[in-house]
Amino acid sequence: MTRRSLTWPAAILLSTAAVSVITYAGIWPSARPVVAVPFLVLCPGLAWARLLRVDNEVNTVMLGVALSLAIDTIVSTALLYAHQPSVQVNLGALVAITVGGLLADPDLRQLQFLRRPLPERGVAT
Amino acid sequence: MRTEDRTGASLPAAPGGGPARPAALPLLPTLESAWPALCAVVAGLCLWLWAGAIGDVNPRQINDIGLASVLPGRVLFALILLSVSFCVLLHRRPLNIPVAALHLGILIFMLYGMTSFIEEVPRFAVSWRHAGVADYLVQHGRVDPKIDAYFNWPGFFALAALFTKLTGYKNPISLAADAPIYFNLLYLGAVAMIIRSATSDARVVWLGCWIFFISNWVGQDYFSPQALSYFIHLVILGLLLTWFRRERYRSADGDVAESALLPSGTGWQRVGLLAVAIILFASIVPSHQLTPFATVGSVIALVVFRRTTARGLYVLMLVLLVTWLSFAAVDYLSGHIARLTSDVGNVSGNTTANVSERLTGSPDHLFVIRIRLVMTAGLWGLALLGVTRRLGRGHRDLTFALLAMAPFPLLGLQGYGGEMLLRVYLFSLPFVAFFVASLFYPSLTSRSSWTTTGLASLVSIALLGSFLFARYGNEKVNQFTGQELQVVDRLYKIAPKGALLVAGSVNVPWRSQGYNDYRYLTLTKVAADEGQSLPRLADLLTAMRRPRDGCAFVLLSRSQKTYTDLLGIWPPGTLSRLEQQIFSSPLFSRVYSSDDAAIFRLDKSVKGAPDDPSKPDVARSNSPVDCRR
Repeated sequence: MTRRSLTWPAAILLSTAAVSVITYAGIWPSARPVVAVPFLVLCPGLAWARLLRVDNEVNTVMLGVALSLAIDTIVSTALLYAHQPSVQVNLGALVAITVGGLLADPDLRQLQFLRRPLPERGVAT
Repeated sequence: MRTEDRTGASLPAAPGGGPARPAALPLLPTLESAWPALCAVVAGLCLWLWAGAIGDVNPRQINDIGLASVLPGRVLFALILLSVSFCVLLHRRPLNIPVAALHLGILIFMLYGMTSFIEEVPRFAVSWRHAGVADYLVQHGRVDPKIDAYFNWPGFFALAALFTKLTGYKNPISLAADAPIYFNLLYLGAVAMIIRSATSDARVVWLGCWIFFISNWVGQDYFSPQALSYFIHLVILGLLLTWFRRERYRSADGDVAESALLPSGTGWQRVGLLAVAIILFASIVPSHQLTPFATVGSVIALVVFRRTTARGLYVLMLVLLVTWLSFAAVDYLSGHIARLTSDVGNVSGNTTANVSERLTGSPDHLFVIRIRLVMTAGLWGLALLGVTRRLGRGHRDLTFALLAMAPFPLLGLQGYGGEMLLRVYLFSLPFVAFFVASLFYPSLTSRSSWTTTGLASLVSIALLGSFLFARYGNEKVNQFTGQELQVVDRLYKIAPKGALLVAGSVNVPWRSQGYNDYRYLTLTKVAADEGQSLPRLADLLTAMRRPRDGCAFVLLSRSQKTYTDLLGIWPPGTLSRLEQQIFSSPLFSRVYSSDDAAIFRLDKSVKGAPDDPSKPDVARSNSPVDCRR
């Protein structure tokens, strides 16, 4: 496993932060579609799909998008049945899943806690 | 053993052991290197031509053959030019992937975005109904499974409600207008993933995707649970074919499945991928009635014929499916189990319901239906030829042949309201498209001759032409006007909650608000309940008087009349004549009207009084009508 670009994690983190600020603080209502749609379509799934270390970026993004839409569907349906329809609770659950995926990434863990680069390893996919 | 062709592409050794022949006839070197850039410019030109012409279309002039009747020549020319440019691009090896992707992107935008630019409001009555279900979830925040089937499979609607709330849109219908473009862009990635699992020949991968999009006429990519579930279904199959494929073959001519190029994954990677497949499946189980069955059927076919290493996956899938049906969907199933199971095993009856019973309507509409049948049969015939050519080159694509046939047993389960054959076509399309593409490039060493390019262009243009009729042949029915929508909006403003709302047919852009706040009825159902072949004013009155209290309104519009006329539900003009009778009857007051629609209220206090020709439109304000008068 080699160290990979941190572009995606940074983008996911930025998108998660943006959608959280806009929703919880209730600011910039006109920017909500532009911020919310990329988050819902990409972030929760891609944060976890990256951990699979599949062969190429296109397949990772494809799995990430499908997984995001699946997670969004499962979470929103489950919360409806649990009588918790509020958008804040819904978003909170998705943000937690997204951040969980980012925290589980060994590359990011190295960055956060050990602050040293990962050693080069062989390709595992 | 691999060799280099003149363009620097790495080619496998020919079956005889000698070097493979160069892929293309030599062109002028400068022209050859500029080839992809030239194709990209042509694709951009096509988009520019299309965008300049599509705004000139007047949707009111659409006739019974659909959108094709009003498309300007420049739009058709742009589509033909794009087809030729794409096929010419395939000629040069190695294929320039970004330019091929650009062509596909522009094709999707042009083919599936057409109606967004032409029509005033989102098309398809069902889209409006789906938006209404999502709106109900936004407004009430709970699922009531007693309302109807949608509330027993609410996954997609819960997702749409989440999108609506998070984006701040007023109504989920805002998501509907461009839904086909977005869904088809998603399909592009999934279909490419599937085809790449069978071949490393980029020409087949991209031509297969191209064929998929110019043949996907069934129109199940609108704002619907089917559209989303289909994408997830494709990704599940792509995942299994890429990482859990049993055979890792290299054919005699050196072609290898893309997945065979991948090193084996680690144990944890496989566990993770399986978990992804289960999560994906878990999201379609509560979203759509049919797709989970198609997915399980495909997975079982792969397991039975030993084409996948994920042998236990189908068991988990079945557990999820049965659990949902036994607990969450039980309210619906308990009331409809007899109807749902009555068609099981009746393949002939279900097929008849899907083919011959749909052969009705105006002469132009019959022409459209015949094009659909010919196009479907033609595509399957081309696929069969592709299978034969692949076999001739030593490729035994049993996996793809199985997956192309796996949806057919669904015909033995249900007629699905006469739409099962359409769904079977849809589920088998990625695999059929692969075989059609293989007809032109049956193996990695196949030369890109100009004859092949010409034939591929001709087939592509023929399919595109058929697509415009097949997909948009019902556009006169499917489109709604701004005036119709305005009248529907007015209906919701003046009708008090609990009122009975009657429409001429199901083709109305209503229920996107107040989904369960009103009682809804259609004249087609009234006539069927009374055993009448035609709607009668007396039957309408009986149905509208059945609720002892509350208001009752009739909404008649242009699209309802077009629906019953074009599809041959009633003789042409039937609904217009009934509207005239309603207008003349003293029992009804016209409360609002526009050029395209009118609302009538039943006055329950009047008992057969003479006609009052001076009746004005009663409701001028937006406040609800007082029905106690």
